[in-house]
Amino acid sequence: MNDIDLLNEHGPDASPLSEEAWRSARTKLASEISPPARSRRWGLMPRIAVIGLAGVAAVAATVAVLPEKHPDRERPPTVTAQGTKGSPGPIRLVAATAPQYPFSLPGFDEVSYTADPGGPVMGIFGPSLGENGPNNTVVLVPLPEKPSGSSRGEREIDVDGRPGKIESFRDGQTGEIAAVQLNWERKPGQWVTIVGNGTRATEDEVLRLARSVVDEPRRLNFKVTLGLAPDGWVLGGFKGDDKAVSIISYQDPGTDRELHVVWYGTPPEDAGWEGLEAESRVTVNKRPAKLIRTTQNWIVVGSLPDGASYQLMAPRDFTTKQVVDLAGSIRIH
Amino acid sequence: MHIADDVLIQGSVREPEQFAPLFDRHAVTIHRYLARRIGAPADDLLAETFLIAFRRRAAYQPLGLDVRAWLFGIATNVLHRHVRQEERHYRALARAAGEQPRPHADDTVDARVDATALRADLAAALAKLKARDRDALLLLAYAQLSYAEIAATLDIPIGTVRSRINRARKVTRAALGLADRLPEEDM
Repeated sequence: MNDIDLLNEHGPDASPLSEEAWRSARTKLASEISPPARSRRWGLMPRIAVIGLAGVAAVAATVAVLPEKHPDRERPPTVTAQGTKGSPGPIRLVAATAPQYPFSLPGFDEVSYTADPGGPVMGIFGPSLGENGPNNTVVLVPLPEKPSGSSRGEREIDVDGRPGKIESFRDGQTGEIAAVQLNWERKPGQWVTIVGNGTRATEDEVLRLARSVVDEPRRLNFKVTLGLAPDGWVLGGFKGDDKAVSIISYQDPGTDRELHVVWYGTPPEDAGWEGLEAESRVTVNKRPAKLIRTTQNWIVVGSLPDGASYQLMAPRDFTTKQVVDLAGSIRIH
Repeated sequence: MHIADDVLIQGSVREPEQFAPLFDRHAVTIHRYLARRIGAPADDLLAETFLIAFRRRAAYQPLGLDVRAWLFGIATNVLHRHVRQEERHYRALARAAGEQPRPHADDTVDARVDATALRADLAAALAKLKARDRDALLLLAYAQLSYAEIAATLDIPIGTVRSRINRARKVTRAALGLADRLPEEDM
């Protein structure tokens, strides 16, 4: 038994969630979710097993929610898990740079991309065979700056005259080296992380791969992209399967404001909007669309020639023209 | 019919009531995580965690991070405001357990049948950790998140996650007297 197992099994234990505490937390959430008339219905539901909740959720999904109008309510500040952030600056739309990934790795036909919110785009080279399959992938990440901090397990290394740090990681179960990570300054000012997993988890292999990295910017083939974006905002994340739902978002690094575009293969049911204040008809790319103003956001809902639809959600700091211009710049690929 | 967590969250942007089942699905798990870290105040922090999650639901983006991991991240951020209380909690547990009879120091780990003593060592070790290292370690041990999920949850590079866990495990193993028993490379 290793230290992680010991910690999990013998670390500080906790009293189970009491019925009283569970009900108290649930009631607080219920009153936030909906006004008393509706929270009562949910708040009094018996505590039932998760398996039963699926049915409850299915029922809830069919309940039409009447929009609540709060015309006099001030817009609340942006709330984050850390607290509140600073005041937003003016919005200016500029041509959006198509999201790109800067590198390629010769010898790898299969590559996928992912990005955490606000983080760099990571390229994953080689087939990923799931949780239980062998993971012999190579992860290559362009870093926005020199990585800070250090780890006891890492050591400094010279990569063709440039500084770097390399570290091996062992599998906690088998004791075998499972990954080797190299952070190095590939070019002056350009820091990159490369990680070799599984059979590629050797220092020699990772160094060989690092030396083989080629500058080859490639456009990321998202299902949905924007031709315009707010000046200074960054790609916040993306996800999509090209069939059902695809999402792309941009973030304002200074304020946590976010802009989302969601593409739906099948238009979702229109069931009302939280905090609805007004709804009007607009024309986007010669097609009718709805412009919805809620207490916190602008929302544009439109359709596409192929029957699919999109929703664009932007903070109220945007003007209506900016929101419509953004919607008009949505591109489906 | 089972509705996936992320579908409920996305639906709850327009229909807030769709958020309710998420509490029922995850409250016990999140509470246990909070309570193991801070003790009794977990009851209040559970409500706070879900209120923040509800207010931030429009910003939730799946991106490979499931809702459970997202909730653990919010709970971890909530705990940041109570770091001293958490450390006092560990020290109190260590003191309480330390008053129990302990096995001889030469006993093997497997022979440490006195789980209370082991718990004291672990609690003392957790109290010594830097808060950010403890976050990463306990998201791995208690929440059973992967390194990638921890990275996404804490919004830090995966390499940083590895280094924080590496550092935390060294402290923990030293406190357990495991440093000579398992190879250093197990970190």
